[in-house]
This record gives sequence, structure tokens and C-alpha cells, in this order.
Amino acid sequence: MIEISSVTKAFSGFRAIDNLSLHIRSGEYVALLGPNGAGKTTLVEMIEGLQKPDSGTIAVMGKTWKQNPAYLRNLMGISLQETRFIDKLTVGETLDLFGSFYGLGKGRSREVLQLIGLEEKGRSFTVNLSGGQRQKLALGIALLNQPPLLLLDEPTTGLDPNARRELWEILMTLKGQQRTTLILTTHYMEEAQYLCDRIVILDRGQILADGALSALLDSFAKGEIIELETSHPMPENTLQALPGLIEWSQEGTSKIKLTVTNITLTLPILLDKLRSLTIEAVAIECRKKTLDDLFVAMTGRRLNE
Amino acid sequence: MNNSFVNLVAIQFREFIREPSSLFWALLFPIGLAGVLGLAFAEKGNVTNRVAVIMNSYSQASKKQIDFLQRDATFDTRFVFKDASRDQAFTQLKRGAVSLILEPLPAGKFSFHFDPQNEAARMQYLLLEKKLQQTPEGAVAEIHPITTQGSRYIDFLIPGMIALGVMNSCIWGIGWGLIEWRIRKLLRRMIATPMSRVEFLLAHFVTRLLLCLIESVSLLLFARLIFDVTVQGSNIALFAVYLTGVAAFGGIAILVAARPQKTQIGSGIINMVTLSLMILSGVFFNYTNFPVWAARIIQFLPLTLLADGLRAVCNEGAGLVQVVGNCLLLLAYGVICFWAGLRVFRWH
Repeated sequence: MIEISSVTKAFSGFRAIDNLSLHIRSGEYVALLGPNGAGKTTLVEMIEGLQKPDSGTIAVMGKTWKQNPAYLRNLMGISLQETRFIDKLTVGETLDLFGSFYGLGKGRSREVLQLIGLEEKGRSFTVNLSGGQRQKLALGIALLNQPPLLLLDEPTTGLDPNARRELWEILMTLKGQQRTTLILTTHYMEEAQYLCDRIVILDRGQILADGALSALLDSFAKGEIIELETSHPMPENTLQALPGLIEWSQEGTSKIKLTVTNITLTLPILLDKLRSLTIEAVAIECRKKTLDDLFVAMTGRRLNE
Repeated sequence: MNNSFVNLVAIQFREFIREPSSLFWALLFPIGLAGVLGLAFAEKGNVTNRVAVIMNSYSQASKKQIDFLQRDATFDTRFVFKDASRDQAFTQLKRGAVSLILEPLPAGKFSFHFDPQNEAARMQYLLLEKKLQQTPEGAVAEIHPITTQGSRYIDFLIPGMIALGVMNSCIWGIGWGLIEWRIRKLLRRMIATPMSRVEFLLAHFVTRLLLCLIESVSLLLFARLIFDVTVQGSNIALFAVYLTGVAAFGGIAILVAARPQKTQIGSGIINMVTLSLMILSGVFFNYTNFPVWAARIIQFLPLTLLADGLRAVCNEGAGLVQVVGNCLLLLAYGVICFWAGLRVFRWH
């Protein structure tokens, strides 16, 4: 579907995208994940033809922007970061306007209105929409021409959790129904985790990691995590004798973070030890590793910084 | 000490100094404007009044009197007397090049032709009349108030107002609209669809043509009802001038809006274009007040071409043939600016 080879793009000396290559297959749901300034938007806008790479090539369905702009525009549905629409135009009229650019009838606008769950807002001015509704409208415009390729740039940034989930559901419905390829940029790992089969982690214009979530975690950040707070400090040699321990670190005197291969194996023994040493566990939290742990492991920084 | 009042004053100064465009508007633009207006009105320290003299009935006595008026240095205001035929004199009056016509009568008498509603003309009449009292012949003047349609100040003003309306409507309507859509990233979103860019810009132009038509027809109807302003020439010629005027300013609007990405810069450029044209192009007073070299350039500015064309049709009864030059030049402005604007247009 998309073939990006050795693309570089710089803005006044700063390399937003640095010699990046990426291949995306038809039907994939891909998340471009990274902190602000990682180059996500630049990459997506180059695929959308809104920016030109300084060097390297981008081909979508075998066609480049230079050769087939009209063909590629019909192929894509896009939503930009925070577009504002014409204030005193209703939601329905806005959809009609964009539909007309694709030669679509007003019937399609009504279908899309239903798809994005804004039937009741069809006659409202866009200026009166909430943030979530505005993002739904942006998504609706992207879906008008039933594009085989959907590119969404931070579709849920700034939305409350409810609105975010509603938008996710629309995208999941789409995934079940038609063969769409989705590229989505986000700095929310839950979003990438929930929607996408493939996660591409970007940082400083380069790809740090690329693959399914479980594969990424396996190869870059093995293990599961036990976080433990105790009444008295635990002796170091007891900790080191725990089975399946990969590493451990201490925060203060009584907080310990253990990385283990398998929680179900380590936890019962840990609890036994505590009991025999008459140390009381104040708090225990067990969890699998997340993308955030992965990002910290790779860069030493957190995703949301 | 970190006083809140001092801070509140200081932040506004910082804001002002750190925005170069506001510096331009607050400091440089008024100075430039004063300079330009000064050029028009303060030449040689005095206001120059041009008076047309109908020469067919020149008697020796009246010639002597005009020489006297011309030579006299006690006037605060300078008078320049220009010989003209009766027709020429009235055409100049219609164009606003003169506000007063002096017609010598037998035995050193004069008749004055002017619009009593025109303040400047009344002033000129009073000055000249007072001066004439000192001549041996005495003040033996007749007043002929000009109330015929097409010759009054209101007849001069209305076509100018229509031209001004077209300019403002086009440049603010199209230009500002495009800049605002660019800032909202709406242009960027639109060109990501298969929308035709030429069609997009033409749609703005056609919308503006229809809106301008409503605005101008209302103004013309108002002037007709209240001031009895009429169109003396051909309606086709009027429409041709009008249409090419909208074309010119539509094209200029697209050129003006081609680059700006900030509202301050956008409104700055738009203000600069519209204000300078408004002041230079003789909407409210005739541009012959400017020095000859400047007037020679000004007559080819788009707003001047439009206003002069409309005046020729409304007041002088011009037909298509008389205004075809104005139409072609206006069209050229439109086409060239549209083309140039499209070339450099920043879609995102």
C-alpha cells in the first residue's frame, strides 16, 4: 500500500524526518507513536502530499505525488491536527461541501452523519460543536469517499476519555466492515494498543521500533512488573534469590520495583518470604509492561513528556 | 519590586514593540499618509484652486480683471485660471477638476457657475467676488447655481463611492476570507481533496460579483431616490466598467491574499492597499490636486480607472466606446493579478 524509502525532511536545519523507510501493507492498522516533535505529523503530511520530502521517495499504491496527484487524493481520507471548519456552516452543509469535491451526492453525507453518530447535530453550526464532535466531523469528512487509505493525525488529542472511546468505536466498526488501511498518529499508548495491530515508534525523526505490541515488548522490554511497598526494608539477598527475577530497583527504603519473567511464578514465593520474615506488605501492584515502559526502556524518557 | 500596575503597562509596551506590523501601522503609516496628503494639498504652502474660464465671450475689460485676480498676491489661496470652451469647462466640473466656472459677460461683468452645496466652490466664489469689488467695474457678478444632474458634487461623489465599495468588498471579502481560511488550516484540508483550485478561486470571484452588484445597486437606488442622481450614459457601458472593475479587484484580492499566514500581516497588507488607493484615486476629491507627475500615474491606478469610468458614464453620458480603454486596463489588472496570485498562492 505505502512504500517509504530513505525519506528525509528538514525544517531550517532541524531534521524532522531522518532517512526513514517504512513499508505498510494493505489492510493494516498502523499507529505512529511518539512524543511531541518526533516527526509524526511531518511523516503523515508527506504521505498526504501536503509536504514534499527533501530526499527519498514515497509511493502509495505504486504511485508518487509527482505523477498522480488526482488519483492519490481520491484514494485517501485524511484528518489534520485540529482543523477548524467554517463557523456558520452546519455539520450537514460541511459534509455536503466536501462530498461535492469527490462528486458524491447528499445521500452520502447522511450516511456519514449516521456513521459518526452526529445525526442530531446535522443542523448545528460547526462553531457550536464540542471538541469531540468536531473531531467526529473531521473523521466523517475523511470517510466521505470511502477511502482505502485513512490517515488520521492525532484524532483524539485533547478529548476527554469518553469522547476518545466513542471515536475509537467508530474506527473499530470500520475495521470490521471494510478493508481500510489506517495510519494514525498519537501520543496515547492506549490508543495505539487498542486500535492498531502494528505500532511504529518514532523519536527524533527515526523509527525506534516497529511491530505488533507483544512482539515489541518481548524484544525490547521483556518481563512483567511487580511494584511492592513494605513496612520494613527487605533484605537484599532475599530479593536476589527470587525465581525468575530479571532486575530490581529500589525507590526510598520501602518501595521496590521488580521485573520478572512471569508474575504467577514469582508472586507466591515473594508472599511466602514476606510472611516468614514478618514484613507486612503495604501495597502490591502487578502489571504487564506497557508501551510507556517500552519507550522509557528505549529512550530513557516518557512518551507524554 | 514587582508592581502589578507597572507590569500591566509594561506588557502592553512589550507586545507593541515585539510586533513589527503594529510598529509599522502606528508609526510609519501615518507619517507616509501625511506625506502623501501633504503632497496633494500643501504644494507651495498654499491651496491651489483651479477655476475654469469660458473664453468665447472675452471682452478686453474682463481679461484685465482676470489678470488682476491672477496677479494679486494678497490671496491666502492661490487661483489658477484656465481658459476653456463652455463644454470643456462643464466637463472639468463634472470630473471634479474644477469646482467653479467663471463666465465673462459684456462690460466686465461675470457670471459664476457652481454647486451651492459644494463648500469649496462657495468659498472660491466669495473670495473672488470680494476681490472683484476692488476693481473699477465693481462687483457686478451674477450667480448661476448649478443644479443640473451630473454636475453637482453628489454626482461626482456617488460613482466614486460605488468604486470604493467594489474595492473594499472585493479585497476585504475575498482577501480576508482566504487568509482566515488559511489560518484555520481549512485551505490545507480542502486541497487534500480532489477540489479544483481554479474553481475554488473563481467561486470566490463570482460570489463577490453578485454581492457587489447588490451593494452597488442599493447605493445607486438610494442616490437616485434621495439626490436624484441618474445614469446619463449607456447602461451596457456602465455594466462593462462595473464588471471589469470587479474583475480587477477580484484579481488584486487574490494576489493580496496569496501569502499572509497571520491576521496582523494580512490586515496590514489589505489596509495598505485599500487606504492608499482610496486616498490617491480621487474618490472624494479630484486627483488633479496632486502634482502633475503624480496625477499622470494615479490616473492608471485601478480605483481611478473604475471611478473615472463610472463617472464618465453616469455624468458625461459616455457610451461603451468612450470607456473601452478603462475596461481593458481594468481587465488586464484582474487577469495579471489573478495569474500572479495563483502562481505564488500559499495553500498551506
